[in-house]
Amino acid sequence: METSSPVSADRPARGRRQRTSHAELERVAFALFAAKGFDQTTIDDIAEAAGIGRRTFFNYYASKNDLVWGRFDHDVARLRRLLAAAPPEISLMDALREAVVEFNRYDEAILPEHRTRMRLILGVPALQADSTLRYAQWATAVAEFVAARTGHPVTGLVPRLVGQTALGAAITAYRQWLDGESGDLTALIAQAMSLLTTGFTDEALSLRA
Amino acid sequence: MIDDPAEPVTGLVPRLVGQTALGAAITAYRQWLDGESGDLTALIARAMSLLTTGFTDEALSSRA
Repeated sequence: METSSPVSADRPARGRRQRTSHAELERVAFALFAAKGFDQTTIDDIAEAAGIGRRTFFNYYASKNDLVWGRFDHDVARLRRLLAAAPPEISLMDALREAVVEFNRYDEAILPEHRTRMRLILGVPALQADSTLRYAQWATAVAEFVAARTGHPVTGLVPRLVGQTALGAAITAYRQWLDGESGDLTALIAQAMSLLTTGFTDEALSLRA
Repeated sequence: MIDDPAEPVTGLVPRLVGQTALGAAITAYRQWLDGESGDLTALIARAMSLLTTGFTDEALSSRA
């Protein structure tokens, strides 16, 4: 039996409740990243601040990079559910825009942490290899939806193109959002996705909406 | 000089076009690499054309 950690998150019922969760561990870690920088923060720092052992940390995340992305498998599964739940009578891109907007809708209280997270994901070079894998998962979920709707094979040009460009639209909206101190993330995402739907005509691109 | 000042390059539209044109080119390259033959420039042209016409149901379902 593992007894080395001072407070085991795996046995929450004993003594003072110190049950850790993914959300709690991420909250603690992001506070440290903000205070001392991502590169300067170690896993030991995070574990100590969370009151858990180093080994328990690894029950939650494979690495510090992994923590930054949070439970992304879980998130992609949610995106798939949102897409699957779209009414068949609305157009493919309306369904996709609504799902992507919903996927990125966060409570006001969580937005500062989400901003820190996305600043790291889009800004820290050391995270780019991890990001590539996650981006591919996300784009594949979209491509599968497009393939199911259109009858194209999932590796066809159209499903891949929509997956890749919807990802690009979401990333662009995030960059815009991170550049401004305020701004409505979901409105930026909706605007970028709508431009994909209408197409990049001179008229659409010149609008100052 | 054109009268209207250019939109800053950090605006949503210039960034979106840059990011999605890159995505279209990458997608075309993937298609090209998957097939043993296939015309790379035709794939790129088709992906870019879809960005121009827009992702309507009709355009996305076309087998062209």
